[in-house]
Amino acid sequence: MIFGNLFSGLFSKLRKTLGREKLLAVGLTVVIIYILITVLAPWITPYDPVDYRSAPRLAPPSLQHPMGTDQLRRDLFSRVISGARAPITVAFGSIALSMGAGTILGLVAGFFGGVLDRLLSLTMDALYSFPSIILAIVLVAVLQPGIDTMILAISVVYIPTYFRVTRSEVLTIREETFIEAVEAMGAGNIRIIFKHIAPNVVNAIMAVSSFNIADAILTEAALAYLGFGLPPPTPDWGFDIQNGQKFLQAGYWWLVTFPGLMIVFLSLGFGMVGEGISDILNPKRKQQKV
Amino acid sequence: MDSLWQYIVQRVAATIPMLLILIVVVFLILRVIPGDPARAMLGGRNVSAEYIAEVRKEMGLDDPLHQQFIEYIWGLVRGDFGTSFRTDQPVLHELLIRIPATLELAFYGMAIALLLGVSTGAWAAVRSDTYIDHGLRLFHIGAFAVPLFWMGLMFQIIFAVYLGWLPVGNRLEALSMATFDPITRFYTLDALIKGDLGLFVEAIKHLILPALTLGIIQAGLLGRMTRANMLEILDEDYVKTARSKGLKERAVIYKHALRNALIPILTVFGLQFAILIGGAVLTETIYAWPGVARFLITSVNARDFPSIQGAIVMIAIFITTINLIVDIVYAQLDPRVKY
Repeated sequence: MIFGNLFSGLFSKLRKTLGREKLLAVGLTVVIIYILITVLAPWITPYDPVDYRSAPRLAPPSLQHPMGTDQLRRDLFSRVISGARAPITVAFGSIALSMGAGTILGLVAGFFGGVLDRLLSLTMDALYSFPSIILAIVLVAVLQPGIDTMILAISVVYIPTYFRVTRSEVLTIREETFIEAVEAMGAGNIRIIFKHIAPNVVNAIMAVSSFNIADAILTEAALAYLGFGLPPPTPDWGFDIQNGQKFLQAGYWWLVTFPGLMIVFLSLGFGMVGEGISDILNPKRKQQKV
Repeated sequence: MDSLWQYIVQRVAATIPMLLILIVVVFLILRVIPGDPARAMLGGRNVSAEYIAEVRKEMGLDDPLHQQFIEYIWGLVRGDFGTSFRTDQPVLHELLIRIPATLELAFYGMAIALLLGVSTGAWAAVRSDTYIDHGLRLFHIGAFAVPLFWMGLMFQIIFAVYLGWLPVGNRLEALSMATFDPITRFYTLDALIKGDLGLFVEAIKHLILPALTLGIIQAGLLGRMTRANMLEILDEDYVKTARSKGLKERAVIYKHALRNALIPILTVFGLQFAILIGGAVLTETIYAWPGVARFLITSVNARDFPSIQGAIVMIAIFITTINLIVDIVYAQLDPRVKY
């Protein structure tokens, strides 16, 4: 019920403005295509992404192998298609996790204030100011490699963002008269937080989260590229780029190019969605004419 | 002037808990989460349980956690960052010889980011809702949608391998590196001090690709901010006043609008610097740049815990210091900030 309320407002806005907001429409289309690719990968891939049997070694793109093959005779197209799963799972998983944790902590800190708020704010500020990828690398390095570890490590990076957005929204909303009215009517703290404050925070969070997903995809790719990702032979764009890098100087360009382009378009898609949502939430940004 | 000093002292005091929290977080991550640093350090080597116990004792891992922490902090205060497992050198020494490399790269990267970001952002705002604006906006979004390491590889392959215009990596050619006697370890600065123009050009050539890779990503973020700020300011009354009193458009844009649009950008400078250092992890790896970030990655791969911890503490000190400076400069520039 609460979630219905939270999202229905935004979705009706989206539908109405999708025609006008070309950036958002293009971005959403890209994202949906990628999600379809991830889900349908087993049926799209012409070859087994980890199996090497009949294909030639390091063959350039051809009709049989549209993106060529790698040094282990694996079909790159199949690897690139199956490689969508890891980044997309990690990006959505980590953002969901950090959104949950960050929002709850932000609501609590903003609503109750006091020492708890000060301690949380200070910790979050410290984490926020620190380069996110370094934090993620250290976390991944000390834990066992795997999807869960990547999700956890990357989610820690974004918790401060949601904490800050939520907390500042709560501080503004708290002062509004309708909260005073609800308080006067005898509503409990938990009820006020989730029923009256949380829905107001959602708008602010939606715009932030699509940028964060774009960023999380890049962070996942960077971790995989540096060798802190999933263990091979699991297909993963970042790892495949690291693998192909060795052959780049000898002229085998396709090994690095195609996985890279996949990352570019996906994070571009989420970036455009973020821009589009920001334009809708803050119409002044776009309409202002000189 | 007194109140400025008061403000500075106050900001410094506020910085210390922040730094302490970062140190605690890193300390806990490295001590609590992994099974056993001693075993991790010894890797897969077949050693007896007694030997591991001995190493643990030597590393102080058997002491209670709070005691280890106090000892670590006390060490930091005295400038003792511990000893690297890998090289047996003091971690502080390992860091000090690499800091200038990272800072030099960061400096040139930031310069490129500012030039590219501010100019394209301002241009997009002035030509708002035209094709130029759309194109520049696409560049801004695109710049941070491209994985930094991929862009670095592409630059490397195009400009260094195929075209051969620029070197593949490192700070100087191997020969110059061997004979070079550093003064400040900022190589472009050293070359100028020595009056060696050839060396200066060589150092700059080695800087171009890594700095460009780092800078372009930042330029996207800065460009978006500049554009948004400019749009708001171009709508302000004082800009309209400036126009209506007959000032040339150039003067309106550069003297009145852009100047004020840049002040809010200063506030995110600290954050930008953090992103830059994060980007340095990848740039330094791709271009074999012997800096702190690359040292961190090598240490992580070797499970060299004192070095990992030291590198992170050093990066945290960098970033809190930059934030502190930004705060103080901002207070000076914006008369609305009271101190």
